[in-house]
Parts: sequence; structure tokens; C-alpha cells
Amino acid sequence: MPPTMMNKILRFLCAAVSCCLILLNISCASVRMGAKISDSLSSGDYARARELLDKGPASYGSGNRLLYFLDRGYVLHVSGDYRGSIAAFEQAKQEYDALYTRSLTKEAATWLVNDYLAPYRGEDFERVLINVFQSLNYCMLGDFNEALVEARQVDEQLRLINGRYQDGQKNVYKEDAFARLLAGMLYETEKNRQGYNDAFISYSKSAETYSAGYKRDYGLDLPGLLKQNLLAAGQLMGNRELQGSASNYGAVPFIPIPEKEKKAEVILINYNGRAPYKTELAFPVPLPDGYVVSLAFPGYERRPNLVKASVLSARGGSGPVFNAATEPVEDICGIAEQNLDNRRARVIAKMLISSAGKYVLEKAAERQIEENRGENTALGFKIVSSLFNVFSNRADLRSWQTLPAEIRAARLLLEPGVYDLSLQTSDGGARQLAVLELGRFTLSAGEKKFLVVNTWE
Amino acid sequence: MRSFVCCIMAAAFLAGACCGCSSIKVKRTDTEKTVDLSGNWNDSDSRMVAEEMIRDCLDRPWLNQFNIGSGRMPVVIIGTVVNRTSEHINSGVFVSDLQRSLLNSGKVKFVSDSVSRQELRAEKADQAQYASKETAKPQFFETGADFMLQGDINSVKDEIKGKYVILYQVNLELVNLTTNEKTWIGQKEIKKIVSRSAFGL
Repeated sequence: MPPTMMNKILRFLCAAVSCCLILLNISCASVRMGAKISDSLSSGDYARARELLDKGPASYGSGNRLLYFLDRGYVLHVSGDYRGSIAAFEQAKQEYDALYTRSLTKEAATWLVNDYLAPYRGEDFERVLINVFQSLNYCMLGDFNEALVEARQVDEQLRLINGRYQDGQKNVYKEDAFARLLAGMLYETEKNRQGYNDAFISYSKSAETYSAGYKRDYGLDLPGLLKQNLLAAGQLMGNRELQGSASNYGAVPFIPIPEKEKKAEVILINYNGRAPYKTELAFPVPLPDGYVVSLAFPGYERRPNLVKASVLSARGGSGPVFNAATEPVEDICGIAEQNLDNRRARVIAKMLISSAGKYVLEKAAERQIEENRGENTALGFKIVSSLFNVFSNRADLRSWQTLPAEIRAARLLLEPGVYDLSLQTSDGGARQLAVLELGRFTLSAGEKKFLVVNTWE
Repeated sequence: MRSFVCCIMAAAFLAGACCGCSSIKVKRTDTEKTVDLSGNWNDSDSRMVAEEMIRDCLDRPWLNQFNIGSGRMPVVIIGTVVNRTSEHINSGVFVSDLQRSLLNSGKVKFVSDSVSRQELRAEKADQAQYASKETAKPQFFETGADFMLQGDINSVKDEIKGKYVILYQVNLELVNLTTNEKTWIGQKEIKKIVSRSAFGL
């Protein structure tokens, strides 16, 4: 082979591989940043997580603005900057709206290279979780009117998601039992008949989702807190609603709403663990004529967490201690994994078609090169094409990594007064892991006090 | 071969490169002009609804009946307008538009709301202590309102595949503060159809 030809091939090889490495680097920026921020959250270093986020959306790479604002909103939420979190999540909502229109050029590029060339569009459950965190942000600021706006958005979002699937279609996320439960608790804050009616409808939908999909798909039972709230709201609506709810979901002791209004209600939302992260299962496939294509699929890897249970405690001076064990209300790990499973066939089909398409294009180009430039150049092209295939076919590993693995909730109904609140975490058995002091609170009759706590061991 | 590589590289970076282009343009516009961007409740909706509802309110018989009965203009105060929509609407803007329309009509007198009153009372209390007797404004001479205007904003949204219809319904009531009788009930609806294209370049 003449040296000039060799040089050309080498230059081509370097250019193509560099191109792929640059692509890989850009595309992985959000995954790396998300992992770093998630690690900072896990170690309780919120300042470091915020410092990383202060680098701005550009640090996540192009097409990942949505992920940036999701991470930012959540980090600010758990670190107590509720106004900052509200602003970030509103930006995330705008990003979702803007991403509704798909760019044909970017979609075409995903078939030619990989999914990283399209912007991260988020999952349905992530869109609903924005409203959940946003409503809790407003609750923490004591602004229940705005929290209710978010509750209404939950209803709209779920209606929209529901409309995309046919009745009876199983194993897809089309309802969110926890979001409905939270919306119900927020509707109750209106303290009028319309509010309790809205709350009853939300609780009913939540109970329906827990007892059907959530139990089957994630092994979550109907939380006791929901049963009590459903029966109390049902009782206020009428005997038929009360009897219907009791026969569907079981009768449990509950405090009627007029009595509940004389008490202070403490609702603890416990974000436990870290959401799973995506990993890549990739393998090169050599073809008989010497070409190599690569197939890469995403999968989820769970992060270990020792905290399996927690108990909310309230101590009022020298009086008795009131305890309520937290119950799992949302299995984010399970929802994320199920979501990916639902898409798996689509992801595999796209990967196979994309690889086959690249192969056909490359084969045609190789024949043309062979005719014009000779066999050696064609061989060089084949090597470079195979390298391009191996480097460019990557699974999309982007996800909202800062999310917790699960959400747990507990509720205490207390006589008005001053209380020291704490949360004890354990491994689910006898081993106590930590006691988190939540502070001293003066609680008045009819008050709903929301608390959010992040746990991880 | 070179052109093939160029094609691949161009396709690969086309999308990313497009993201880099951005510029800010600012253009001043008439505040009376209706500009719809997202389809959400906006300043034009607030202004139009306030003007129409107040016009309707002041055209009704209660005003003449009060004028004849008491020999003076009624005094109105604006209460709360509750946001019952699924949007974070700043109801303060709507309340300001209502106040402006009421006051500019010249048919009613208007007193400050409870928050403003607290500030005014604090100022008068301060004057009573520190201002000269000639200039200090007396306390306990406030005008009590005859009517309170209160209401809510509701919305219903129906959405499917990038297209939605949203109905905003604003309900206002004028309540006689002496008798708690509802003197006037007004309702104004705005319906919007918003669509987004599923694909672009």
C-alpha cells in the first residue's frame, strides 16, 4: 500500500474515533453529573451537590436541560431551599412543554448515531413527581392554595397519561397512587364540602390504584393512612360512600373529620434511599463479511440501602411519646424498572433496525470505495466503520438520578401543643440506624404540618 | 469516502450545533395589546374579564336602588378572589384590575382592603404619637364599606395529543355587608384552544 494512502486511512481512522469519543463525552456529561450529585446527596453533603448544580445547565451537555432542572429542583427541595426548588421545577415543566415538539433532524440523528443526540424527554412518572415535589414545596412554605394548584395539575397530568393507554392495558404507569393520596390530603386543607368531596375522589382513585396495579407490580399494600382518610372523607360525603369504601378496602378505626379538625396533623414524607441508575449491556456482533456492529441496551442497577423502616415520634414536654411507623407509599425503583421493561421491546427493535441500516449504508459505501479507490481503501473503511459502530451504538443511560428509591409516609394526629419531633430509622429488624431530630414545633388545632426528610445508610 | 465521513459527522453534530445558537431580543409593546404565548391565563385575560364584569356589575339595578335609597354612592371593598385553577395565577393582578375598573367608573366609592388598612392604621398611630396636631390625621374616621366583592377563578382543561381546550370561569359576587344578601352575581368565561405541533425541524 502506498504511504500516502496509508496516511489517509490513518487520518480517517483518527477523525472517526475522535468524533465518537467526543460524542461519548458530551452524551455522558449528564450521567456523570447526576451520579456525582446523587453521591453528594447520599453522603449528606448538600452544599457540594448545590455547588455542582451552580455550574448551570451547560454542565449537563446539550439536550439535557430538563435533567438539570429536575436534579436542581430535587436537590434544593431536600436541602430546604423551597423557593429555589419551585423556580427550578417550574423551569423543568417549561422544558417538558418545549420538548413536546420533536425535532425531526435530532430524531433522525438518533437512528444514525445513538439516542443521546435527542434531548432527554423524561418519563411519565417523573413528570408527575414534579407536581408532587412542587406541592410539597408549597406545603413547606405554608402556602396551601398554591399546593392545591399542583394537586390539580396532578389530576390533569394523570388524565393525559391515562388517555394514552387503552383500558385494561397492564403494567404501564398510568396512575400514581401516592400523588392521588397527597392531592387528597391537600384538598382537605380547603376545609369545605367541595374540598372534602375532591379529597374523597382522590383517595378513592388512590385506593383503587394501590389495590390493583401497585400491589401487583410493586408489592405495595394500601397504606393505613389512606384507609383512614378515605373512610373519614367518605363518612362526611354520606353513608353510601362510607359503606362502599369500607366494603372495598376494609374497615379500620378512623377519626371523623369534625374531630380531626380539633387536632393538629403532622404528615411526614420520608425520601428513602437513592433511585437506581442505568447501566449498559453492550456486545459487539461480528458479521460474516467482516463488519462489526454493536448492540447496547440499558438496564437498571439498584443501590443498596440499609434503611428499611422508620418511625416518627412526637414528644410533648414531659408527656407521653406518640409514635407512627412510616409506610411505603411510592416505589420509585419499581416504577422506573417497570417503565424501562415496558419500553424494552421498542428499544431492542430500534437498536436492531438502526444497526441493520448502518450496515446496509456502510456496505454500499464500501462497494463504491472499492470500485473507485481499490481494495485496501475499502478494507480501511470497513475497519473504521466497525469502530464507528462499536463506539457510537450506546444505550441511553440518562435518568433522574437524584430521586429517592422510595417514598414513605407517616401521620400523627396530636392535641394542639408544643412537640419535639424525631425520626428513627432501622434496618427493618431490631437494629436501629439513626435518630434524626426534626425540631420543636408549636402545633395548633386544625393545622396540617408537612415535613420532608431524606434518609440513606 | 471523505464525503461519506463528512455526512456522518455532519449528521452527528447537526442537532448539537443547533442548540448553541441563541440570542435575546426585546421589543416594547402596548400593554393593552393581547399577546398569547402559552395559552395560560395572562394579563389580557385579567384586564378584559375585570373590565367586562365591573361594567356588567355597575349596569345592574342594585346601584340605582342604593343611590336612591341612601342618597349617596355605595362604598365597595374587594375581598378575596380564590384561584381554583390548575395554574399558578397571581390573583393580585386580577384584583388590581378590578379595583382600577371600579374606581375609574366614578359610580362607586372604594375603600382599601384589609392588608392596606393595617399599614394605614399603623401610619396614623405613628402620626398620633409623632406628628404635629395640625397635620396628624385622625383615627376612627374610616369609611365602612357597604358591599364586598369576592369570587373565584376556575378552569377546566381537556387535553389530548398536543391539543387542548381550556375554559376559565370567573365568578364574582357583590355581597351587602349589612344583610349578607348577594346583590349581584356575575360570571365571565374565556375559552381557549391551544395546539402544539408534534414535529418540527
